[in-house]
Amino acid sequence: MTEPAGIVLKNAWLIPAIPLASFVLVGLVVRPLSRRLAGIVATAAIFVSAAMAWILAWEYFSATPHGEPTAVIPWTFEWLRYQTGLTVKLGVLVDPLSILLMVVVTTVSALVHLYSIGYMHDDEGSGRFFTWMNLFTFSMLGLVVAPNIVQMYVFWELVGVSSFLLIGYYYQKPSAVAASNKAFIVTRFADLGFMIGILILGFYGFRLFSELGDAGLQPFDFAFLTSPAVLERLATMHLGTCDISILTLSMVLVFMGAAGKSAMFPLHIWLPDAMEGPTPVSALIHAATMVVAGVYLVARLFAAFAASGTALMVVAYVGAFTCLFAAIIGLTQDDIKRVLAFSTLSQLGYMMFALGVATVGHPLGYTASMFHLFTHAFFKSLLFLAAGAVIHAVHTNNIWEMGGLVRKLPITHATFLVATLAIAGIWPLAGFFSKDEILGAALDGGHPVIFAVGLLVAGLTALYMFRIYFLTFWGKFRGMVTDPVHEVPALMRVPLVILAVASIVAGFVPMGRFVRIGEEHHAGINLAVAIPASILALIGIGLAWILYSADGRRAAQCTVRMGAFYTVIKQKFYIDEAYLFVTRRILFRFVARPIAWFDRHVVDGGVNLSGWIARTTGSVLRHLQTGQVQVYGVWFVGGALLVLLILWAGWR
Amino acid sequence: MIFLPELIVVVCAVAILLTDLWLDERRRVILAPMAAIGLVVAMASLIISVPQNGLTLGGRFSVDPVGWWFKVFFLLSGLITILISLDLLDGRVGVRMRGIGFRGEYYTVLLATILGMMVLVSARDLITLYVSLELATMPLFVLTAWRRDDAQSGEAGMKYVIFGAMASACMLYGLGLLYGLTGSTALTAIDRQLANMPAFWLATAMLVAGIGFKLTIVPFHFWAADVYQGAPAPVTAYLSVASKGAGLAFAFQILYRWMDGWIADAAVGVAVFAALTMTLGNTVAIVQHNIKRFMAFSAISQAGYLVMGFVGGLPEGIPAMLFYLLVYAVTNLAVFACIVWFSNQTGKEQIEDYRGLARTNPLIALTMMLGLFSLAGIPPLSGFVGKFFLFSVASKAGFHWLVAVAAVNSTISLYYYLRIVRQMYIEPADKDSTRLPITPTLAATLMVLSATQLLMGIIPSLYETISSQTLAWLAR
Amino acid sequence: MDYFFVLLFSGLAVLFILGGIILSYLIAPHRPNRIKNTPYECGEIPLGSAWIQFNVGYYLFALLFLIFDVEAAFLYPWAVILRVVGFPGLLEVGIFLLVLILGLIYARKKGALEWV
Repeated sequence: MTEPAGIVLKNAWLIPAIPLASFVLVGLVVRPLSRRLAGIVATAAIFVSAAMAWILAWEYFSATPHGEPTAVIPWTFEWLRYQTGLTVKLGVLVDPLSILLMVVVTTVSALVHLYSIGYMHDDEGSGRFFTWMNLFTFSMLGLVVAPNIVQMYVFWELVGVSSFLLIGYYYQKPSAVAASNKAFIVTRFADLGFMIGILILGFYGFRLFSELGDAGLQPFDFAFLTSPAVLERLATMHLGTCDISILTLSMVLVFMGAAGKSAMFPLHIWLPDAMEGPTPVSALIHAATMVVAGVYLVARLFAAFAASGTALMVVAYVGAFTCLFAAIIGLTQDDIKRVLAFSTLSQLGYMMFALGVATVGHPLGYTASMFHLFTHAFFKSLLFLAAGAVIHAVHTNNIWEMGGLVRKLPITHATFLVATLAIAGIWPLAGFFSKDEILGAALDGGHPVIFAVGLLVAGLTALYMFRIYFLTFWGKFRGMVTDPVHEVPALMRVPLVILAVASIVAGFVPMGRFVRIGEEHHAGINLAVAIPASILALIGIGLAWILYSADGRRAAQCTVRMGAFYTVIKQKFYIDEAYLFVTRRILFRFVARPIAWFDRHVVDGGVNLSGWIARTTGSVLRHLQTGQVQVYGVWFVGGALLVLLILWAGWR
Repeated sequence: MIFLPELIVVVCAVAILLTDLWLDERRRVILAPMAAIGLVVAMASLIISVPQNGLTLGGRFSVDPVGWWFKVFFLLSGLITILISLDLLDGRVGVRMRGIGFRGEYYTVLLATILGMMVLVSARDLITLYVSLELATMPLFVLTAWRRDDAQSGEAGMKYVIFGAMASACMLYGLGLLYGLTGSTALTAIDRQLANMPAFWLATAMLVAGIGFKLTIVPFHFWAADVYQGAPAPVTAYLSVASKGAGLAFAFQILYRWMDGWIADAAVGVAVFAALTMTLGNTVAIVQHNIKRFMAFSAISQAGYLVMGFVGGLPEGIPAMLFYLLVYAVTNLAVFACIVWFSNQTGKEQIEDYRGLARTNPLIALTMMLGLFSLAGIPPLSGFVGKFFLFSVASKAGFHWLVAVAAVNSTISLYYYLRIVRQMYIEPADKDSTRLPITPTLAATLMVLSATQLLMGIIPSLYETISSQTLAWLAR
Repeated sequence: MDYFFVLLFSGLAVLFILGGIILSYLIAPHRPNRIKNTPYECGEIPLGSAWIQFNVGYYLFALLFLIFDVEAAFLYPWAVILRVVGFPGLLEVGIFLLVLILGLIYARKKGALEWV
């Protein structure tokens, strides 16, 4: 086995360092000079970084064509020394998983930056926008290359901060401000679990470290935490007399952080609101990169999750539930970006449960999850960018005020269609292959319920995606805007086309060769899975076509268009009425409405409640502060007596 | 001459007082540089002497590495306080009526409290301990009421005097009881034999109450909010940092140096007080509107984190607390420098008044945001590293629930620190607000403070130095 | 049991004071009139209210007097044992006096000694 080597690999620290340097440069020097230049410098830096990431991938995988992939740490720096043997290092970890994420993050980020030059052209604050975007890219790369859990936590927070700043970019809008606060507070709340999980792991890891440690490792390193010897010991340790092992406890807590970042139910509430940010931000952060950080974290610690079966089950079922739940809500939304947000939730659910159904003996789901992460990044960011182009053109987010944009926005339409087909899982586009692998993994792994959910959601995905597709591009324009609708400038078209090409070809990447556990496997197309999934997707598309292709004034229009099939149309009309009855009267009222209500009032309310409790406690406690020194004196004496009492009790 | 730094501070204080007498009002601007130089020279003499062990004045005054780091902290916070008081005292403020007079006396009194604190950590004798504690506390009463014609300042001073006198009396009774039990004023005479006597418990309870007063531990914290709000802003800054440091030094002297086994036994009590303090400080801070009062509750919650270092009486607690104290001095004073500057320029102290600051004065807003995020413990900043060490001490002592409480609290604290950041960055500025001027000294101070607090978070060597020196001394 | 007498003493102290007040309240006759209610001022008939502002100079003088009074009280015992403490004692008292003299200079220069 040869150690991979190469110039870029040796200097892999440059990949996150270039965006950092650019962040400082743009933020302090370029931005005051010219906001146009700021965009160009920021974009160029990310492109350099992306090129390096691709070369790195080539160098690494050409050095290990078929051998077991090795993890290389080409650069490291000692950050905190707690005591001898317990230090925390900052470093760059290069292994297949981090390379995959580096490629995805830098590529999508570079294209989104390029698109933003056009999108933010008229915005006065675009210099600030590019500064924060660079900061985000740097933090995300820092998170991806983290060789230990502490570094990951540090960058995890930085990613949260930059997301907060970008969601609140339109600070004049109160809703954007509220959304940014909500996103930050909800994820921070989830991070609390992550942090406690890290502390527990660190505490026990350090205890085991003296006997199981290895000279090259530190207690917080992923390599140490996922080594079989440590996992075996952690799985047998128990917290007091509880039945829960330390491993399960800490992994569930860590998963809480992951669920917050990846917006799993019930911590998903921030993501739809986060759409208040500029559309490129939604494309980069809330579709392709930051929200997959949770998936990435679970994949990083996969061995530990797998060693604790319970934690893995939590991952699987939370993922599957979110997958279905979000898809159903997605059917009822009218804001194009919100539909895409719920779609993101649903797809993240796919990735999560794919990890959940994998085991060490049967690791197909692991590869499938990473594969879906890879393909989803392209088509989902494309969907957002194309939606951004539409919004740019018609100045509204409401799909009922769009329509008939096929001719007016040909390129946007074509790319949006490609992405929609890809997410719906139509052969031979990217989504087909990755979804097929996930469903196959669920079926082979012995999880029929999860498989069924995945299959159902495949149909629902096609339905809600084509719903917005038809309403946006087909039919007649229903909006209020009277000024002519223009296609986006060339600068914004380039990223759309590149991402469309990527959405078509990404499915042919042999992911099983690159990112895997154990033996290399070539997953062919599993027909038993692919056929029902494709049929369901086609049914979804067909249903959407029937219901939404004609602006909702279906009866009259269909008669005109398909005169010969009048009878059939009549029947269709009947079906439509039935569907309307079913959706409006039954589905919508009894299923989607309650879910949406539950979401808004109970889940959301729970988070608001905790804020309210803290505030109310504060207002009650402040009344202790009367301003009278006599009262303070009484408290003082009371406190002294309390101390005395504690001492007295201590020696009894 | 192991008390050379203290001597320099005394000489400097007297020199300022006398120089002031023969200067006319215009020439009094040289007083601040004199005080600053005095502290710098004292610091230099301290640094040259590197941490060493020594005993003098008949065993009443001694030096060791722990005390050395405390003195570095006192001198540093005194120096920064002088730098941020400059504008207010020399009248370079936007609001004419805000200037306060009596510069010579101000610096003299400030240096006197620093002297008191420095002697406090070196004292090895009950009487020296008490006298130096009074020297460290009494000038603060005067400083609080410095703005004579302001009703709030006067009220704050009055409350502080009354409450402070009560705490002082309580502590004196405690020390008296200790003397009665041991028959000697030497701190070395206190040993574990006493631990079974009820009178000793009473003495300890009284001393702990006094320490609680200095450190603003719940329920001895009530004075803090009123006093911090009423005192002139630079004095509030000094109170929230140095006075807390003095409380910690006193606690260290009494509880750690001579009752180390005892504090290990009382771990549960310490943990309870730490949890109470941080929770109360955090929840009440949420509903505050005046920024100085807000910072008072923030400081109370920080004191709660700080005393986590005492839990279990582990040796690692000392470097963790010292490091956090240094981090806290730099961070909190950076935030206060912004507050002082803002109230100098506009005369406003409400949190709402900070809206849109990022658009009129981006650099100040950035500094303040960094400081607040560091106080909240957001990772790469020094506040996170400081909390990390304190949390790990509690975790090592087996108090996982305390770590959980502290983690929840730091999440709550983020919420209210974010309130200010939101005012500065997200709320729009008033239409008539313009860029406010800043003097070069304050700008330089702010930059150095921000850079320092960033570097302390990233470069590990400071903590390592503190840790190795203090642990080596404790293990001897 | 060591602390029984402390308890007894505390109880007696409280009882003694409260008892005195309550007893006198019970026994003493209450027949107030205007003459009885006037404040006692060395037998003089009081003029105006007692709540008047005094010249702040009184307080300054009182403070300065107190300082030098204590100084004198400190110098007497030193003078008595001068031969025992010898030269170091002389030096220490010298420092003590120096500090007080600096204070006096400050007070003089600030005009605290002038009656206005």
